[in-house]
Order: sequence, then C-alpha cells, then structure tokens
Amino acid sequence: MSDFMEWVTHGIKRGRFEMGPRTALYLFALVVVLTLVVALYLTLVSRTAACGRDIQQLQEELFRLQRENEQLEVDVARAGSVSRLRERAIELGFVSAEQVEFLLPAAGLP
Amino acid sequence: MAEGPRRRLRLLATLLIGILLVIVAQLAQVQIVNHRLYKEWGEGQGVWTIVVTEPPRGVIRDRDGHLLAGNAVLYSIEAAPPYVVDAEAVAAALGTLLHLPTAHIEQLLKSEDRWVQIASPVSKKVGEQIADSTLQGITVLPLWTREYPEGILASHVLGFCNVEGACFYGVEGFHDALLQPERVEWEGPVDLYSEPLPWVVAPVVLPQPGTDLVLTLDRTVQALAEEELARSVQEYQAEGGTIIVMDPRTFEILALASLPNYDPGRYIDFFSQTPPPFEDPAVSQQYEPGSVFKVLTVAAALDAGLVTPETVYHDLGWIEVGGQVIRNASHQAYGEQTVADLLIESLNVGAAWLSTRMGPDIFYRYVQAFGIGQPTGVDLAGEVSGQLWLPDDYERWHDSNLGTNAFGQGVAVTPLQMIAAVATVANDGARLRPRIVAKRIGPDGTVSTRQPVVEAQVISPQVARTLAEMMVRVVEEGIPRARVEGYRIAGKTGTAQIPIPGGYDKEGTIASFVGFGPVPDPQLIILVKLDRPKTSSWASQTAAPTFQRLAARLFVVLDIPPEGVAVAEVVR
Repeated sequence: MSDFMEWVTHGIKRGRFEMGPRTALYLFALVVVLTLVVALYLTLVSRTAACGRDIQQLQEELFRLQRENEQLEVDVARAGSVSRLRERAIELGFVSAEQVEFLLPAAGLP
Repeated sequence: MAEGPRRRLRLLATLLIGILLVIVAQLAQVQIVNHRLYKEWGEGQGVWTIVVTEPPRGVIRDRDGHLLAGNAVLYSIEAAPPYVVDAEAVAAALGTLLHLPTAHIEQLLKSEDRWVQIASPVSKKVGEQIADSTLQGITVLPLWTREYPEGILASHVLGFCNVEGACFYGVEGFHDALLQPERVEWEGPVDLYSEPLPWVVAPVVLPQPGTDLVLTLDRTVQALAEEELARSVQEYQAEGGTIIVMDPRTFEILALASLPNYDPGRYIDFFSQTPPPFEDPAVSQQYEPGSVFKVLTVAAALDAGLVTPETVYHDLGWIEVGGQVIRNASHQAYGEQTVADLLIESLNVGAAWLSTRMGPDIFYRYVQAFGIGQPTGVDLAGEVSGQLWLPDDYERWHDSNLGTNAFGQGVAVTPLQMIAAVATVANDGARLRPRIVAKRIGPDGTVSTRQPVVEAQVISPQVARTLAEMMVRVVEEGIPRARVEGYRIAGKTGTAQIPIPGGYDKEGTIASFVGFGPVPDPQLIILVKLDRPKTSSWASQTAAPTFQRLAARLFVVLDIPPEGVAVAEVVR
C-alpha cells in the first residue's frame, strides 16, 4: 500500500465479510441469469442486424433490377421505334406502297 | 476512532460529495436544462428523414402496347466530406470519370459541409463506373429520367417532364398525379451512406410505381398523319397545321398531329422559339372554322324539321341579318338552290337563311349540343372551350351573329371540338366524349378500361344519315381532290378568314377539311387544318388533297376495304 493510502486509512478498522453457501448460490444464479439474458439480447440484436442487412440488400437488388428493366424497355422501344424501322426498311430497299390493289377472288372460290 | 483520522475522513467524504455534486450538476445541465438542444443535435447527426428509393413513374403506351413514354436511369454523384479519407486520390479518380477539374472536386471534398453534390445528372455508364470503384465517402444516387423512345412522334399528345420530374402538357400534364409513383419517407438513424442502420426496423412496405396508361393512339396512324402534315405544310407553304384522326364509332383518337412540334426528350432546346411549341394546337388554340360549320347549321335545320335536303330557297347573293349584309364567298347570286346545293356550293347566304329561319333559340341549342363553346373533356392538359357568344350575352352578341355564325364566322372552335361535332353526324347523331386514354393499369396489374361516354343524342339517326349522304355529294360533286377511289367519302371544306384586332386579316386564311368514310358505315374521320397556306388560300386546293392522301393510306393500314370488297377472314 502506498504511503498516501496508508496515511488516509490508518486507524480505520477493517470489517470482516463472510459469505454463506446460500448467498454464494444466489449470487451465482444471478450471474448465470444475467449472462444468459445478455447473451440472448446480443444474439437477438446481431440476428436482427443480419436480417436488416439482408432486407436492405434485397431491396437494393430489387431497385437495381427495376432500373435495369425500365432502361431495357426504353432501349428496346427505341430500337423498334417508327423512325428506326423506317430507316432500316429504306436501308433494306423497301419503298412505300403508293397504289394498293385489293384482289377479288374468283366467284365460287372459298 | 482518533480525532485525526476522523477529520481526514470527513474531509475526504466532503471532497467526494463535492465532486459528486459537480458531476450531478453537470449532468442536470446536460440532460435537463439543455435537454432539447442536445437531443436535436444528436438526432441531427444520426437521425435523418430519407425518401425510400422511388419507384418509376407510370409509362405511356399506344393502343398496341408500344412504349411512348418510359423511364431511364441517370445518377447523381454526391459525397460526405467527413468520411472521405484521401480527398486528392478520390478527386483524381472522379475527375477522370466525370471529365471535371480535379481541383474543383477536391475543393468540394475538403469542404466543411456534411454533404455535397459533385455532379448531377451523369449518364448511366459513368454512374455505374463510379459505383463499381467503391470510393469511400462517395454516394452514387440513382435518378429517374423520362424517356420518349419515339422521339418527336406524338409530342403534343404526350407532353414532357423536366429534370425535376415536374410534367407539363398533354397526357403527362393531365394525368401527372396518376402517373406519379408513391413517395414514402422514413425517419430514423442512418449510416454514413444515408442507409438505415441494419438493426433498425426499416420500412419493408415498398412504395408503389405510378399507374401505366394505354392510349387510344395508334403509332402507325400517328406517324402517317405526321408525315402527311409535314408534307402538306411544306408543299402548300403553310405556317403550321393540325391533323386529327378519330374512329367515329367510339370517338377514340387514333392520331393527333400538329406542327410546329418538338422533341419532348429535348424540350429545353425549344424554349428559344417564340412561342415555344409546347401547347397542343388541337385543344389549346381556337380558330374560326368557316364553312365546315355549315354542316352543323344544316344538321340543326334538318333535325328541327324546318327543311329537307330538297327544300328550295332563292339565293340573291346577299342577305341582311341584324343590319349586316352577308354575301357568298364568290360574291355571286345562285338563284334557286336546294339545301343540298347550299352545302355543295358552300353558300354563306343559304346558311344565314337557315339560321334566321331557325331563330337564335333553336340554332344555338343545336350548336351547344354539338359541343361548341365548351371543352370536350378529353384527357389532355390545357384544353380551351373555344368562343361562342350567346344571345343572352348582351355586350358581345349582336343580331348579326346569328347570320355569321351559321357559316362559321364570329365563332371559334378548337380542332378537336370541330372533329367531334362532325363525328356526331358520322355516328348517327350521338356525340361521345373524345378519348385519348383507353386503359389504366394500376401497380398491382388491375386494368381499368375507359368506356365511351355519350354526351348527347344531338340529331336523330335518320337526319344524321341523310346529312352524311348530302356530305358525300359535297365531295363527289364539289371537292374532287378529296375523293378516295373505291370509298364513299363525306366531307366539307372550310376556308376561314383570320380575325385580327379591328377586323379580318386580308392576307392569310385557315384552310380545313373534315371528312369521314366509308359511308354508310364510317370507320374513320379525319380533320385537316392548315394555317395560312401560301400556294392557295382555298381549302379545296390544300386541306382536301391532304385528306385524300392520308385517308387512302389509312384505309389500307386499318384494313378498311373499298366498296364491294370484303376482307377475307383467316380461318385457322
């Protein structure tokens, strides 16, 4: 003990502390219960966090796929737009049908 | 206990109690006195209100499901400066990808702010590159942007959305609330990327996307209408024009084209035009229809039982109504004429004679029943009601209006009002509400189909059919350039003067033609309106041939066979 502490405590009578077996048992049981509660709480919190992270990741994935889907639909529509189809048709040598004739089947044909 | 230790103990206890009191006082100061301040400070640091990632806006499709307005992704690049570890390296990486000065980015990253925006919007490709590089303290936030994959096609029908997501004009403007996705806000503790902390119960109910709309528009018909309109505007040197194509049996709008138009995906480029071409002239601009209006005057007189197509009147070349002398456009007298001739020759005197025989009560009752002077109720933003002054409007209506209104002067309509009125004749006298939206598809897939709404039975079916036959004679005997080989077409031209302050413009006219066919079972009605054509001021020389070219193509596209030909039904 340091000189200072001895200066502070000298002359103070030390009391005796005795613990009976029953008290020790109660104390032990309390420590066990507290440990279990804390362990359970920590497990719950960590599992909640893990689930929360999973949900967040799934939501992110959902939003990402939604964005991809929308973008793809626009890309497909652009590739098949009237102006694009017209360009392609002209490139392939098609021309507008200026004079359309309806053909009448001969009488008696189904 | 000796006196010395006891005193020392008391001293020590007093000291400890004193320290304890100071601590308690400080705690009370923090937790009670300044409770609110520290609570707000703490919440401000860790608890944020965040918008749960927005789902997309509802899309717009044509009647066959082709996408007309969809959604694409852009990104906003943002940073939380306190969490950026190596500002120089991050700035260099971002500068290369964003093509921005590194010094500028570095300055932003070293700022005292908790959150800064570095660039927005950036392309999908660049945004994804930055997201993949996982730079600490940098957030890549996705943004929706509206895309119009058909470009300028149907721009006036669609309208546009700006970068902030506010939408204007057309269906976008009219149904903005319906198309908007659900917005869900969540308040709670977040991490440095503004994500809810994982152990907090985050919102699991996701916001719903907007309602999808399926239009009655047919993109092929729309493209052909736009092509013919562009050709006619150029060929007849007009300042602009409008073409509307409708199915008179349902009043479904198949095409609605106007010039000048714009690209809704690049709407900013068109702000410099005066005026910007965003308003849809088909519903937002009114004009005096001229002689097309005679169809309504004759319909009213026939239905009121005052005349028949064979009723004869004597055309002197002029008539005085309310102190105003009304003359025929040709300034000629036509002598004995029937009501049918009145339409074929398009005689102003005859129309005024009919309206004065009816009197204002009957005439205006029919005109209103045809929908003139009131919005049609179509689902397009910015529709105006036109201009119809009635006899009880003592300040603006004069007796002479009864005569001039009969041939479409002194009354203003929108192109959609005019085609809806004539479509009433084609539809056995029943006026329906014009439709541009066919279906709504909710986020849960629920389809809600818009049913036709009958606004009024304006004239009897018999009178409507009689009038349709008279209009066939108008085309066959009076407007050869509107004929379509193999089809019985009913129609009427209108060459109208343009009102200006103090009178009418002597230079330009508005040339229009409304025609439907094939009679007696009309499946198509087309309105052509050309603004100030220069090659000829007459509708029979400009609007009528435009109708003829378009109708000939549309009959084929829409599988409407010529007279005497039945389209074979495919049997599988």
